[in-house]
Amino acid sequence: MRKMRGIKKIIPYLGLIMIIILFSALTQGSLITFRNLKLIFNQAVVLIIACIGVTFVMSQGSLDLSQGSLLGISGAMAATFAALNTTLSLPMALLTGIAVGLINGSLLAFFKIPSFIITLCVLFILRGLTVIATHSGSIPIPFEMLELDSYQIKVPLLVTIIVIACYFFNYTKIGKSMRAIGSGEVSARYSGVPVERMKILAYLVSGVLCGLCGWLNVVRTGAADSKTGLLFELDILTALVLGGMPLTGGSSAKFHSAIIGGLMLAILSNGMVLVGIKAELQQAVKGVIFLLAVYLSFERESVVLIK
Amino acid sequence: MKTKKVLSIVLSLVFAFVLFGAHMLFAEKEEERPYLIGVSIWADSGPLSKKVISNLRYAADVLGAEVEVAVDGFKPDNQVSNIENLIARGCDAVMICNCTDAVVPKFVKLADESKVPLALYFRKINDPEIKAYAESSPYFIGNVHEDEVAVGYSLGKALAAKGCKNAVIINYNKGDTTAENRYVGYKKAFAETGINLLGEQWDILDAEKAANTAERFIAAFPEIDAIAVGGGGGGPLSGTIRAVKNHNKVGQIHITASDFGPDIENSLKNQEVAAMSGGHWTDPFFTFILLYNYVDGHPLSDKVETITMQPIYLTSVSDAQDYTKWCMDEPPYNEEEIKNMTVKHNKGFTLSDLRRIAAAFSLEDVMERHK
Repeated sequence: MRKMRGIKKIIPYLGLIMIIILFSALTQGSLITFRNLKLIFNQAVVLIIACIGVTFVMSQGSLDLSQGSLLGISGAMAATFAALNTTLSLPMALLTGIAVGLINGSLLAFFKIPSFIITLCVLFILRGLTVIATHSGSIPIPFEMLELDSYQIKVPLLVTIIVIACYFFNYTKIGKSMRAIGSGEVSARYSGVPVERMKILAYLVSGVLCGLCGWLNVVRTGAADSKTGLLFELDILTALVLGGMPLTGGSSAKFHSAIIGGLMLAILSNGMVLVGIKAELQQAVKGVIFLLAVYLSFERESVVLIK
Repeated sequence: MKTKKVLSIVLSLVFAFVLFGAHMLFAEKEEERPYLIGVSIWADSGPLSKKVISNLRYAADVLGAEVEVAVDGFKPDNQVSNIENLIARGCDAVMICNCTDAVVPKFVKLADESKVPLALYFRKINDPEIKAYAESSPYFIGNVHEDEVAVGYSLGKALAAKGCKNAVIINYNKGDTTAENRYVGYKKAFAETGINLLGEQWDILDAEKAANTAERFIAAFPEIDAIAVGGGGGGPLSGTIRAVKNHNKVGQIHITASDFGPDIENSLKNQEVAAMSGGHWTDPFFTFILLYNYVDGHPLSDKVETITMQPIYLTSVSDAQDYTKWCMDEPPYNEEEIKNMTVKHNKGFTLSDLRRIAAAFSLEDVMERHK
C-alpha cells in the first residue's frame, strides 16, 4: 500500500514530463522554444495562482466553486476603477477578493452549510453582479495598462506567491492546522485548532489570490467582460486533479499539485493547438486526460463527503 | 525524508533534461511549407460557423494554403489565448471575429510584438479611440463587415410589412458591435413604422437559451406578434422557431433573423420565418483573401482597409431554393474566381477589385456568374 502511494506521488511529475516529451516530438520542438515557453508561462500564471488559493481550501476538505465568477467581478471592479485612476485598479480587485473570501469563509464557518452549496450560490450571485457591473458587455482598460502584462511583473510575482504560500502551507502552524481540519474536523478541534478561524482564513487566501487573478486577467485581455471567468472553476479543479490533488481534497492535499497541474493544463492546451488537433477534438482529449487523472489520483480508501 | 530529497532532485534533473534535451532532439528543421492562416472563431458547431470554416478550408485548398481553426466561445480571455497560440503555432497571419471592441488593442499589441498580420472578420470597430489605436499598428491589416444597421433596419421593415405591431428582440452579446448595430437598425425601423418594442434580451448565443427566452416573452406578452433574432450563428433562430411552434403561434408571431438557420427552405415554406439575412459567411473569405495576398508578398494596400458587403436577404421559398442550389451546394466563388482574387495568379488584381467583388455579392450575383 505504501509503495502504491509512493508511485502515486510521482505520477503528476511523470505526467508532466510525458506531456512535454509527447508534444515536443509532435511539434518538432516548437513546444519548447523560448518564445513558446514564455507563452505557456503567461497562460498558466493566472491558473497557478488561483490553484494555490484553492489548495488551501481543499486541504480542509472543502471546495471553492465561486472562483470563476470572482475572477469576473474582481476584473470588472479593476476595469471600472481603472477608468477613474489606474492605480486604483489593483487595490479594488484585491478588496473584492477579500470581501468575497470573507463572506464564503464566514458562511461556511458559522452557518455550517456545505462549502459546495455556499460557493455555488456565491458563483451565481457574483456572475449576476458581473453582468450588472459590465452592463452585459465589456469595460476596456486604458491602453497604457496593457504594458503591465509583462514578464518582469509576472515572474517575480508568481515566484513570491509560490514561496510564501508554500512556506505557510508546509511549514507553519496555520498550514498544519488547515490540513488537520482536512483529516478530521472534530479531532482537529479537540487538538486546539481554531477551526472557524482557519476556515475563514483559507477562503480569505483563496479570495485575495483570485482577486489578484482578476486584475492579471484584465491586464492580459485589455478588458473586463460579462463572460470573463466562465467555467474557470472547472479549469482550476481540472488542473489540481492533474497535479495529483484528490477531488475530495483533505489532508493529503499537496501544494505542488497547484503548480504541476496548472503547467500541465497550459501545456496541454498550447500543445494541442501547436500540433494542429482540430478544435472539435481538443475538448474530448482534455476530458479523457481528466478522467485518467481522476482515476489515478482517486483515493478510494479515504472517500469522504466534501464539506 | 532522505529518499524524498533524492527523489525530488532526480525528478528536477529529469525535468530539466526533458525541457532542454527535447529541444535539441526535436528542433524543427527549416523547410518549405504552405501559408498558414490562423482563424479564431466563436464555435465550430452551428450553421454559420460550420459554413465559415468549410468555406475557408476550401479557399485555402484552392490556393495551396492551410487554415488553423481555434474556438474561443466569444470569451475575451480565450480570444487572447487563441491569438497567442495561433501565432506560436507558426501562423503567417491571424484573423478573428472579436467579441467586443475592448479586446482589439490587445490583439493589435500581440500582432505587433510578433510581427504577424492581423485582420478582423464580421466586425466593425465602433469605438473611435480603439479604431485609431488599431489603425496606428503596422500589422493590423483591416476588417470586413456588413452594414449591420441596414440589416436590422431592413428586417425591421419586413416585420412592419407583415403588419406586426408588438415586437421583442432576442440578441447576443452586449458590447458586440454587430449585435449592437443590428439592434440600432431594428429600433430605427420600429420607430418609423410604429412597432412597439415590448422587451429585449441579450447574451443569447444558443438554441436552448433562445427557446426559453422566447417562451418567457410569449407568456409575458400575449399581444406579441414579432420576434427579432439579432444573430448568434443560426442557433438562436432554431430555438426561437421551436418556442413559437410549441405555443402554436406560427403565422401569428412573425420571426426575422440574421444568420440563417439549418433549414431555411422549410422555415420560409411553413411561415416560421418572415425574413432572414445571412449568407455572409463569405465575409471571412474576403478577410482571408486580404491576408493571403499580404503574406504572399503582395499586400493589396499599405494602409488599414475596411471592406463592406451586404448579406443575402431571403423572403420566399424560391429564394431559399436558389440560395441552397447556388451558394450552399456549390461554393459561391469557384477555383478560378478565387485564384483571380490573388496577385500571385492575377497580376492586375487590386484592392478596388476586391471591394467591387465584395460589394456585388448577392444571390443574383452568384447565379449570374455560375449559370
